[in-house]
This record gives sequence, C-alpha cells and structure tokens, in this order.
Amino acid sequence: MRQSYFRVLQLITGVAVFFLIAAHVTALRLDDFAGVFGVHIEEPTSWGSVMDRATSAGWASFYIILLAVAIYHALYGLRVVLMELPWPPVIARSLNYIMMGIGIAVFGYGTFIALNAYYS
Amino acid sequence: MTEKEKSLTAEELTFRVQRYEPTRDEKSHLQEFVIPFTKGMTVLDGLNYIKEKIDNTLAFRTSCRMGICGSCGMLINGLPKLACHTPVEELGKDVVEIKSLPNYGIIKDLIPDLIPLFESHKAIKPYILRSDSEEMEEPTAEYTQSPQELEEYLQFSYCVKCGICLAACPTSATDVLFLGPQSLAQAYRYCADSRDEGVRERTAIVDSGHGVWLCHLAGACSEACPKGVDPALAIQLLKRTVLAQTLRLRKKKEPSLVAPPPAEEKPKLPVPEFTAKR
Repeated sequence: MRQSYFRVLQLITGVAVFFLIAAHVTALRLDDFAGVFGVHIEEPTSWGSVMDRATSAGWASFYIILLAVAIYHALYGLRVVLMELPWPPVIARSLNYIMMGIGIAVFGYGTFIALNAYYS
Repeated sequence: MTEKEKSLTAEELTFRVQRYEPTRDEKSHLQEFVIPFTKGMTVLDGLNYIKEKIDNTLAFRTSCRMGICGSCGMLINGLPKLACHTPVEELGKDVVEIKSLPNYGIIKDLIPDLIPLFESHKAIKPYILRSDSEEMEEPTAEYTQSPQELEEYLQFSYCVKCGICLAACPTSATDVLFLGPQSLAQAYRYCADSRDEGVRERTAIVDSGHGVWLCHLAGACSEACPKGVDPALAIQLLKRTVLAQTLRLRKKKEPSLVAPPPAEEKPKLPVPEFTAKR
C-alpha cells in the first residue's frame, strides 16, 4: 500500500483526535463551559456519572472510536520517527509489524474494558 | 623564491584537511598545511596550491573551477559548500577546516563516494517519459513548450548533482535508504515538465517508506544548495503531485505535441558585402 494513503489517514485522524478529545475534555472537565451552550452535566467525574457514560451505547462507541483514531495517529507518528533510526536490518524490516502488533494489542485491551463496562 | 612568491607569503592561512587512505588508515585524521593567502583566493585555490607545491598525494575532486560541474563539494568549516565557490575571505577565519561531505562514504581524503546519490537519482527516472515511443526513438521534431510551461520546472533543472543537499539533509543523516533531496527534487522537475507523462511511474517510486514523506522540511538542502535550486520547495510540490495522483485528484493533461513543420522556409539573408572575403 502506498504511503500517501497512510499519510492522508494520519491527517484525518489528527483532525478527528482534536475534536474527539475536545468533546471528551468538555464532558469531563469543562462542565461549567458546557453550561454556556445549555448542556448541563452533573458531577461528571462522580462514580454514577462515569457508569452512566460507560453503559451508554453512544459514549461506549465514542470512546472506542477515540481509542482507534488516537492509536493510529500516535503509532504512525512514532513509526515515522523510529524508521529513521539506524536499526539492525531485522528490526527495520519488522518495524511495521511491531507497530501494528502494539496497536492491535492496545486497541483490543481498551475495547475489552469499554465493552466490559458497557455490559456490566 | 621569486619576488612575486615573497609577496604572497605576507599573510598565511592554515588549512586543516581531512586525510584518509583506505588501504592504510582505519579512520580519517586532519593534517595541517600553512599556505600563502592571496586576495580573492577560493578554498579550491588553496587545495590546488597544497597539491601542486606541498603534498601531491592529497586527493580531491575538481574540474570547472566556476561552480558549474559540481565536483568540488566539501565540508568547509562545518558547512557543505563548493570549494571553488567559497572565497577564503568569506569564511572570516585564518584556519580553514576541510572534510569530505558527510552522509557519504569516503573513497580517499576529500573524495566522497557519490554512488548512492547517483543510484537514487537513476531510480527516479530522470528523463522524459512518454507513451509515443516511436517519436521518442526517432524524433521528427522537437516537442512544443511555452515559456510559462518552462517556468514550472526551470529553477529545479539547475541542479549540478554536487550532492551538497544530501550532505546537509538531517533525514539522510539518519536514514541511509531515504531517496534524498537531490533525486526527489529531480523527480518533481520531470513530473512538472509539460512534455513528460511519467507522473504515475515516478509516484510509485517516491511514494514509498523511504521516499518523499520522510522529508520533514528542515530546509537545510535549500540553504546549502550552491545553485539556488531550492530542493525543499520541489519536495513539497512533489508531495502535492503524489497526493493528487494517488487520490485521483490530478487533472488529466495532454503532454506537449510535436512541433509542426514550418509553413514555408524563410529565405536566407544575404551575406553582407563587408564580411565577404576578397
């Protein structure tokens, strides 16, 4: 696959991460700010609020999407930096697979936690 | 010593020159030469003086002495430059340290191994690619090109393949497989040529893991280029071309046509009387 596709995906996920993190921070920490726009969040970091979000299909999907785009964006950026280092040929050849492995493992673990909380 | 030579030794310069003989040395070392300073002398003049009068075993590349051939690229006081294009006075020091270009192997003394540069230059197909192979094999006339179309790539065609841009490039310093600013700039030079149809072919080459996207736009190549080619700009334009080609956003443009034959031959002007031999 051409690098341009990965590059475009990196740009798209960069923009997506910006808006998704902004929504996440607004929901969790900027409850007063959200009130300006008529959205009233009661005690966003309390146990009840956290569990309400965790068991909501919308919020669970939101966090899984955020996790996916953040992992891709971070690991692609890290891969670009790592590719320039003078690795032994074996590591240089398998760098893509290593990054993919890390990404799948982190995404799998994060998704498991989100789904586990959703079905609890 | 003649009267003229005496006047030259009024002021002296110290040249610290990198020496490396692969059959003898494990690593390179610096050797000092004290040479006379003359007004307007270049670093290459100094090296020629050393070779002619002090040590004829000193090895360096040189040819045109006027910044055209691109042979004498060297690391002069820490910056990659053409030795023939660098007046000693411009350096502002009476000690001049000269080493072989970084990011290349060394063949001997100041001679860098430019094979990787030429290999990656060759890889991007630095020539006009067209589908009308018959015309390419046996041309009937030249391809037409307007001055505006020429302007699209003219600046990038001034490259003399000196390799200085690659020596200055921080990405090339860490990634030996990176195609490098010289070949990427030349890839754009041919992609931007209105006579060329090779964008798709070159995109497949430069849109790779060690290709155009590894350029971080440090701009060191453009800063160092002795011919004002601005490879960094060419690479950014190449990124745009590659992206448009990959995402199929590129407008289909017909390449230049073969110039039509002249309508009628103009009569030759008569030779003026005063030029005729009597």
